[in-house]
Amino acid sequence: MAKITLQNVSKQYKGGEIQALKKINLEIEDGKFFCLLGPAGAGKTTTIKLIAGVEPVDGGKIYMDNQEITDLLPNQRDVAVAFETYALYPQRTVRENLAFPLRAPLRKKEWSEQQIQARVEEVAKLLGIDELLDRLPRQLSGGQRQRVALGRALVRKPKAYLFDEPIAHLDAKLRHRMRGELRRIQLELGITTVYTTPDQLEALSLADQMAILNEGKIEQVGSPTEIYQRPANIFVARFVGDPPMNILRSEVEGEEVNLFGLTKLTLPAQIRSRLAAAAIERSLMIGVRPRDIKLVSPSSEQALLRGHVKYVQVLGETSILTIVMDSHEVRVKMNTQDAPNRGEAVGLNFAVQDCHFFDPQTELRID
Amino acid sequence: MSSRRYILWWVLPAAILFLVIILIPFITALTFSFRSFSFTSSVSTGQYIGVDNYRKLVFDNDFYNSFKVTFLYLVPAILLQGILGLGMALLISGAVRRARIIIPIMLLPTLLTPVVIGLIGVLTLNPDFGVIGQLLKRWGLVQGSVLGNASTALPAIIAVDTYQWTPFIAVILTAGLLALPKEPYEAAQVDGANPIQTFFRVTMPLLWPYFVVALLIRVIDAFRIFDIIWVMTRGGPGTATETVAVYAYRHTFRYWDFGYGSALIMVIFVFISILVEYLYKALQRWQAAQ
Repeated sequence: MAKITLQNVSKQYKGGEIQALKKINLEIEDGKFFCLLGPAGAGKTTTIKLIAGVEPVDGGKIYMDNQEITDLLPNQRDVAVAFETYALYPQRTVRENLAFPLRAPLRKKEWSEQQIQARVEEVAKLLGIDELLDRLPRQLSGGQRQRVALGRALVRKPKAYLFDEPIAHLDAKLRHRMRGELRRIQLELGITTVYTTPDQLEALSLADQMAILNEGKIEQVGSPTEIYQRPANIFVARFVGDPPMNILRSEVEGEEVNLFGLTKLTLPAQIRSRLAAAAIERSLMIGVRPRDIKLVSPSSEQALLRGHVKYVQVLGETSILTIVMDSHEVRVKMNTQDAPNRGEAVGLNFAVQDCHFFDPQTELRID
Repeated sequence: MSSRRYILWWVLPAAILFLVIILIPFITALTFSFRSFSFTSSVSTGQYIGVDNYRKLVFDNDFYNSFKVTFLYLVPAILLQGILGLGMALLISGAVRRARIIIPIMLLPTLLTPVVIGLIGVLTLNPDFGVIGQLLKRWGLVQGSVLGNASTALPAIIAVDTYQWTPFIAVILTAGLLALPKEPYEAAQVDGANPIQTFFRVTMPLLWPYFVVALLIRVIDAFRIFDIIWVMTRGGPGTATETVAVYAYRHTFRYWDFGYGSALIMVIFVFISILVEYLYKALQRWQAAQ
């Protein structure tokens, strides 16, 4: 178990052509489940590889329990990695693949042969691959290979687990189950876990703490609730939450803002003072989550905006509606049974306290 | 209907080429092998003689000897080239990543025509003025001429052949090494594998398919080795370096016995086909068993 600290860590590829990580700072607390969330190419895999030590950093330092490990070899760091691309040993059976980390020369004396076999079978059972122990990797499906890769990390009890999109290639149902299993294993063992995923729902449901990475920079670090409720900028606001938060451009007019020239909202006093301090006088970005918008009758006084339904996307119990007004679109999430039909005129209502405010220039949160 | 005809036109050039270059000569040789086609025989030329050529072949000790010589050359040559090629590939693959120019330079011996390679061999091994021949003589390793000695002629040919073909194997394996995925190596690092384990668990299994390709190409090639031997020893001294291709050539174009030469070639053809098929399967099985 260990605390992992990244200090101004940079990484370049292709001789500086690609800046994979730009001076990132992270503190991953001991025993926590830490998710790195970000779109493809954000630098998630790079971060994992740098912590594992399979690639050298180009700048900055990495600490484990306040001891610098920047220049240590991977096997001296006592971490276990599940690679997104599986990286199984092609000529070895599943059993041998799982056993290898326990048989490696560094740990030769720690495990007896019976202990190894028992541990391998235990982990295989946990991952539902105990039937496949005597097969070769190429005889397995993608999802099965991924579970073997995960298993090869889980057989050991290292200081930290590094999981790079470890369940991305499983089918949806299995993914759900494995998500639960991973969380359970982590809670049981209390081993610090760094977990990357491009799936915001996965991160929100698993993490104690999470960081949002984008283009090699950290956009925000916090607990899932903090990040969902108080996104630090427009990128995070739109990346976390599905469907993405509606971001509406509005014009500031004294104590009010004008939305699309269609309606006016009174700004909370606290936001107004911040606007004055930030010298924002003209525009303001207002973010509203699709589920914070209520549909009302278009003739009702409560209707802040009026439009008509362009699409209805039914997702079982809930539906996602796309409402158009003039040239603007707003998405609304609501119960399917209450949803209007396509083409119907509707009114939209939302509360100012549910709104998020962003500076249009810096895209940072104002509050 | 018209689309079918259209397809025919596209296939036709390749089909004609195949017909003229491969099928017709093959069938001609096949028919020759059942006929008396010798300019030195009393039987009139072109007469059908059934399996007489093949019957003669069964009792031809020189023919068996030529198979033996072929294997004495082939097995050590390919082992040597495989090992040296792998070593070379491991040494240079890192450098090749930065400088691709190494590949064409390295391939120079392979690109030379075998006749030239054979001549280089003859000249360097000449006991009077050849660089290597003189040294071997001075150190007393060889009595007189390397190529004139029945016990050293074949090793000399193997050495020359290795000089020509090791780079070829090295290039195939280098391409393989450069194409290997990085992640298994990273996994091995994290798991704490030592370099030897990494080599046998990661590098070799992943490189094996490339090895098989190189090996099969070389085996097929080895049965055809002719130019180098013809230039260096003409199959001699005696029959010490007379491989199957040299033997068939001798009968066809020295003794002008096209019938018997064709029969020899047919047998060699069938033998290579079976051998390659078997080798391919065996290598695959070996890989699966690992």
